[in-house]
Amino acid sequence: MSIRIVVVDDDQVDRYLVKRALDASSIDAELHEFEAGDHFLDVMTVDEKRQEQFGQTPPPILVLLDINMPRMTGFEVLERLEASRVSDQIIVVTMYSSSSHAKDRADASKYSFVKDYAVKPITAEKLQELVDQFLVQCNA
Amino acid sequence: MVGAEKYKIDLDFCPMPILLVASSGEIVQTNRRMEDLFGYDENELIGRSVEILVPEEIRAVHPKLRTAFFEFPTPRQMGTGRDLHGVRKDGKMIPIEIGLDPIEFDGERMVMVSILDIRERKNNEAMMRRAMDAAASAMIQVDENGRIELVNEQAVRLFGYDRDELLEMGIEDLIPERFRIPHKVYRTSYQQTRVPREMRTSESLIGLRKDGTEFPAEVGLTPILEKGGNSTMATIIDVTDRREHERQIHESNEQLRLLNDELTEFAYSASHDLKAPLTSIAGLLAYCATDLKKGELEEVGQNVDRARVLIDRLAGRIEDMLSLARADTLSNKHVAVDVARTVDDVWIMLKDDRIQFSTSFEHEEPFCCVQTRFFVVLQNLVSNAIKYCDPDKEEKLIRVNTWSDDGQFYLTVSDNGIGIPPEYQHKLFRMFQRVSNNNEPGSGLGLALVRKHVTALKGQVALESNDSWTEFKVVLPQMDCSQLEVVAEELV
Repeated sequence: MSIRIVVVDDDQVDRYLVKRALDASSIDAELHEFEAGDHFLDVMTVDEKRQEQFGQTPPPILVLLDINMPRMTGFEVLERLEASRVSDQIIVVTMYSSSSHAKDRADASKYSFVKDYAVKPITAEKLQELVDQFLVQCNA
Repeated sequence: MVGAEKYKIDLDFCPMPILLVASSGEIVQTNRRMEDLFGYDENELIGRSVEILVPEEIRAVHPKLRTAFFEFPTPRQMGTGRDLHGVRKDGKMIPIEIGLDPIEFDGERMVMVSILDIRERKNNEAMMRRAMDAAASAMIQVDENGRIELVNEQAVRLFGYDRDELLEMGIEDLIPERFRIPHKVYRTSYQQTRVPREMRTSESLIGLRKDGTEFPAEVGLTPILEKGGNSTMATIIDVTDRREHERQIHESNEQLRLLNDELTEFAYSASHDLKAPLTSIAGLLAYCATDLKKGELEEVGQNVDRARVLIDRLAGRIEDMLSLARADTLSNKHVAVDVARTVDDVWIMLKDDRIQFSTSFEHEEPFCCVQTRFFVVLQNLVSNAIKYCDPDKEEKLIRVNTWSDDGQFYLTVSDNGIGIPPEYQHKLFRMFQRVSNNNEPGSGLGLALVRKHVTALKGQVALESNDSWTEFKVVLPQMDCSQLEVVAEELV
C-alpha cells in the first residue's frame, strides 16, 4: 500500500534530504512537500484543497514537521492542527529538528497525534522506523 | 510693721519661697526659703522694691505690670510655657515660675508671691533636649489635635523651619497640600487605637519643607501620655537616598533580567540556527559519498554547491551573532554623523540594480550619534528592504527620509515590497525570528540588532506597515555636539 508522507520544512536542502532518504529506502510512498506551516494548514483545513492534494477520501498522513521555521514555528502548526480538529483525522506527526531539546520534546509530547521526535538529517533507516510505527497506528 | 512681724512666722512655715508685696512694689515680708533662693540675708529684702528681683530688661516696665495687676487682682500663675527669671543678689538669673495671690491687710491691697524654683526641671529639660537633638532622626511631638509641641534639631534641619516656627505649626503644615485632608483622617483614626506603628510602606508619605520642596519619608509613631492629653512622637526619616538606591537596584535588576531572558533565548535559538546548516551539510555529504560510488557526478556537484551555500549562510549567522554580542560592549563615542554620506555608503555596499533608491534629508545639522551603531541600524533596515522587495512589482522602491522635530531625530526606511502581515509584526524584533516565507536565508538577527543598537542610543524603533508600504521608523535623540560630553558621561 502506498502511503502519504508530508514534509513541512522551509529549508529546501532539508526537504531534498528527506526525499533522498525516502529514495534510499524501500518505502512505497508519495512525498508531499510544503515550505511553510501556513501553506500546509491551508491545504489541510480547506476541503477542496485537501482533496486536490490528497484525493477524495481523508487519508492517513505521516507528517514530518520542522520546528524552527520562519513566521510560523512547528509548534504553532501543532496548535492550529489541534484547534482546527484536522488532527482528528488519521494523521501522525513526527517533529523533526536539527537539535534535540528536552523542552522541545516535552512540548511536542503534549499533543496526542505527535508520536515521535527525530533529529536531522533523517536517514533511510529512521524513515523506515517511522513508517512502520505509522502503519501500526493506521491499523489500530 | 507689727502685722508684718506676725506674718514672718507664718511665712516661714510655708515649704516654698514666698514674699508679700505691697501695691507700691515694696516688699513687706519674705521667708527664709525666699532669702536663701535669692541669696539675701535675713530680712534684707524687707522694705526694698520688688523690682530688684526682676531681670533688668523688664525692670522698667514691671511697675506698670504691677499696677495693672492691682487694678484687677485675681490669682494667677506665671511662667508656665515661657521663660521667667528672677535675679539673685549676686546677679545670677534663676529660672522660676510664680504664683500671684491678692490679699488684703488692714484695708491695704497686697500680693502674696509664691515662687517655684525650676532650675532642676530646666536642667532636665535641657538634658532631654540634648538627647533628642543627638538623635539621628527628626523627631516631632504633636498633641492630640496635631499641634506641634516638641521638635529636635534634626527636624529643624529636615524641614528648614526654625524651632520656634515649628512650635507654632500643625503637623499637617509639614505635608503637601494634597495629602492634608486624608492625613487628618488617618491621624484621627490613630487617636482611636494609639498603638506604636511604622508608616513606612505607603508611597504617599511625603514631607514638605519650608522652601516648598518635597521628600519621601518614613515615619514611626509612638504614643506619649502627657499631662495635658494624648501626644504622639513621630520619628521621621528622609528616604530620598534610599528610594534612589532602590530605584537603581530595581533598574539594574530589570536590565539583568532582560539580558538573562535574551541569553536564554539566544542559547535556544543558537542551537537550532547554528546547528541546522551543519546537519544539512552532514546529510548532503553522506549522499555525496553514496553518489560518488555510483558515479552520479552531476548530483554530487549539485550537492556540493548546496553545501557551500549552507556554509556561507552559517558563516553569515555566526557573523551576525558576534555582531549582536558585541553590540553591548561597543563604545558610545558620539560624533557628528554625516547622515547623507552614511546612507550613501550603505547603499553602495548593498546596491541592487532592480531597485530605485531615493533619499530625502531634512534633519537639523549637526546630528550627533555613535557612528558604528547608526551605520549598523541603517545597513540592516536597507538590507531588509532589499531582501523583501516584491519581485512581481514593476517599480521596486526604497526610500530613506530624515527630519528633526521637537528634539528628536527621525529616520524612516520604507519599501513597497512584500510587506509583513500584521499577525507576525509583534515577533519582528525578537532574535532569530524570520517572518518571511520567501527563500531568503536570513539569520533572523537583523532587526534584533537594529533594536539593540537603537535602544543603546536611547531611541526607539517601530514598524508602520500598510498595503503598499513597509516603513521602519527610528527615533533618536537629536543632540548637537555641545551636549556631547554630558551625554558621554551619562552613558559610561
